[in-house]
Amino acid sequence: MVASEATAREAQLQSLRYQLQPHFLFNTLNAISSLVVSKQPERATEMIAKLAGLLRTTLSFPEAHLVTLREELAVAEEYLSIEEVRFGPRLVVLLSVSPEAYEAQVPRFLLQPIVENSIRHGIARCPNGGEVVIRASASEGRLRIEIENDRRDGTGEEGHGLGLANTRTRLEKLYGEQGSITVSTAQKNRFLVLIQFPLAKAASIAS
Amino acid sequence: MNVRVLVVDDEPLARVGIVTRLGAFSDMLVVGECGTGEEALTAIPQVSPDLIFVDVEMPGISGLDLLRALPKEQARCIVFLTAHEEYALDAFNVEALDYLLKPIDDERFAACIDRARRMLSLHRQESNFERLYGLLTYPSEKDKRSVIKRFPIRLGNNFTFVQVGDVGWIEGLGDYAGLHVGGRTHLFRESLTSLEARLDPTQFVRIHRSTIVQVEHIARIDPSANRDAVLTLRDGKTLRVSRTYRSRLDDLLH
Repeated sequence: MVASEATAREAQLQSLRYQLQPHFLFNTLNAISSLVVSKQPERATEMIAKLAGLLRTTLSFPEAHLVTLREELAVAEEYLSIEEVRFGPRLVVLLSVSPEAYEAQVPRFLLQPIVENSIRHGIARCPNGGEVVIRASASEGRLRIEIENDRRDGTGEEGHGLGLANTRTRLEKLYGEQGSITVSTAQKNRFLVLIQFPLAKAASIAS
Repeated sequence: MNVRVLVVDDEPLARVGIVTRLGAFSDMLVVGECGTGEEALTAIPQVSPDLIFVDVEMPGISGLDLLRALPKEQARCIVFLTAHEEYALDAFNVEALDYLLKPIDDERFAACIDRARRMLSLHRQESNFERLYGLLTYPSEKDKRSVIKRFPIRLGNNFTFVQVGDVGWIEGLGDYAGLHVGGRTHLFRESLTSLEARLDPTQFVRIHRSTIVQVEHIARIDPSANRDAVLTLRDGKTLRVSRTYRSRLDDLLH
């Protein structure tokens, strides 16, 4: 599992680079600064805790390269809740995950780069904002995860490239032909990423 | 005199940060907030702000697009907001008054308000004079190529000259330059960058994006944090030397 550990690290480093780039980090710090000057200390400390939580996860190096989808989504939700504070009503996050899918095993940091791209290349470029929808379900021995976001008309896949390519490589190494990632731009103002691979429960892998 | 301020940023909390800070300055009157460049284009002719704070990175019409799209008289006094230091240079290429890095530093914010007040008050003096005499003169294309020996300045009813040697330092104020002579500031209708090319490079040196000093007027230079330095003029005025311009100053003095 040395190769899968290496790809997990790669995905994690990509996430870290994103979180430390000026657009996310300095705008988040600026939002916190606004909460302080406008005398909203509870919201300020809450956001500091969220940012710290996100950075702590991204900076940690746990042994396991597989986590439950529940754990992976907790990181995504922490990240999205920071973006919700920044963008206000411009960002709507919807989550629809079946109970079985929650306990499924997923490669650590599999979703994070894609979720970050949904904001950076999607919502952040929509003057009127939009939705990020995460769906996950399990059936017939396979896990199916969808990440869909609104985007400006006519914008292509630019920017998504690296995140998608890295995820594709990871899935190939881990699952061979059993894993796949596909992008659908059938609707011109929506961007949909679909990831599928064999379903494995937490308990069956932990042993 | 009140200053009418418009705040344009796509992030609501970023606007809260600016509006709240403006609340500490009794002369700053917030006349509107916009969440997009498009809204700002509609709002500006309606509320005619004196001072506009604009985020650089907005979806759709960016802050820089906005400034380029506005007629010059509606965009005299623009302050850019950005998380990226590299956008700051672009801001000065389109002759903004100032830019503020996010997260906002309160001291830096107060200095920016101060600059805006100085620039607006100089503009008011000038436009009163223009109304009276209709005597506006832009430097001609020929003027813009020649070395400046003295600055033509109007003082009240009179047309006088400021000798180049008397100017202690020059401050960039958007498409104008403030000439600091003794205790007075004269407004000269030319951007700092354009002016810099017309000054004798052995006599004047740029020490900051928005500051040129006359070498003869420098009394001392003290290093400060971040490889910046603080320069003191003979009249006691202190100015910041940014590290970007530090080497030019060192070359001149050695």
